[in-house]
Amino acid sequence: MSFLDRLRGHQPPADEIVPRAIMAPAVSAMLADGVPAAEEISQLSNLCLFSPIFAHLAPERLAEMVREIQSEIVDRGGRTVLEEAAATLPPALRETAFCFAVRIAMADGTIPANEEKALEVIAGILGLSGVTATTIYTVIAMLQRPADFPDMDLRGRD
Amino acid sequence: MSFLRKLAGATPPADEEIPRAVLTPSVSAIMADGDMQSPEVRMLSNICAFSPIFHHIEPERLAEIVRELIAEVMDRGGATMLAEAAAKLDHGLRETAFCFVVRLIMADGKIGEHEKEALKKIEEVLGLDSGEVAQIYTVIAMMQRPAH
Repeated sequence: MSFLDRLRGHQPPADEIVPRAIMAPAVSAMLADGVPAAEEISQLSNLCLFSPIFAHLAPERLAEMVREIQSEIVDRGGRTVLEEAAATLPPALRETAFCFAVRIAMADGTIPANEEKALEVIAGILGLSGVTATTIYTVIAMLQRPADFPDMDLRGRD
Repeated sequence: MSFLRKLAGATPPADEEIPRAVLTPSVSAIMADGDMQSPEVRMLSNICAFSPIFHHIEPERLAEIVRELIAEVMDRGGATMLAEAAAKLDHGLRETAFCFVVRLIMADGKIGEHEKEALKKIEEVLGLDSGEVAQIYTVIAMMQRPAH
């Protein structure tokens, strides 16, 4: 949904409401590092291809949605968009959304301080417990572990 | 590394040794349920595209490595290949390899009986403790949750 669509009162199609809410935290995490590169947008849409939540959406539409959410965050502020996403999702899907955000933030095997801070804010808005957030960090860190940084293990952080 | 290259004594390039070892459990798990189909090869290559372990490898080469591992598992057996892979990886990368397996197996949202057995064996060969394994299942299941 573009800015102009929103001004005209357009709502996203019903089958895009949950997918957009799941994507919002990941897009917000990407923006913590500046304007996302085309590669990052493609990474997120690629990640979505694995999730049953996005199975009904074409890859091109996924990439378009990422750009639309990015514009919404820029226009209306990350906190507003994130709070709306949290209100749209049941607790279980808020966990899913946080997994996506952490995965995108850790895509290159490291997590810069600004993205780490953004993830803390996102976890708070999504209402995740410290234990759940730590478990997610731990396993996503395992998935994103590089071959030559065996100590990139975030267990114990809280 | 193809069967012919293996017969000829060829060894994989040094920068492919860890990536191949990380991929071996995934290939072995999927083959537990029959031959690996090309959508699964594509899915595995896609998972790898996100991992820094594979960033230096071109997508075409990655798909080729997966096909080579399938041939090797068929020639030499999954158990031998798994034990060799485990010996090459430190504990952290064994966890990573297991995450890949679970991610791949749970891609369709469910785990079949053959796959459960295969996962159990892989978990043992990789020497993971039950707490780590439970965390991995929990988070991968979160990632694969459907909307309803």
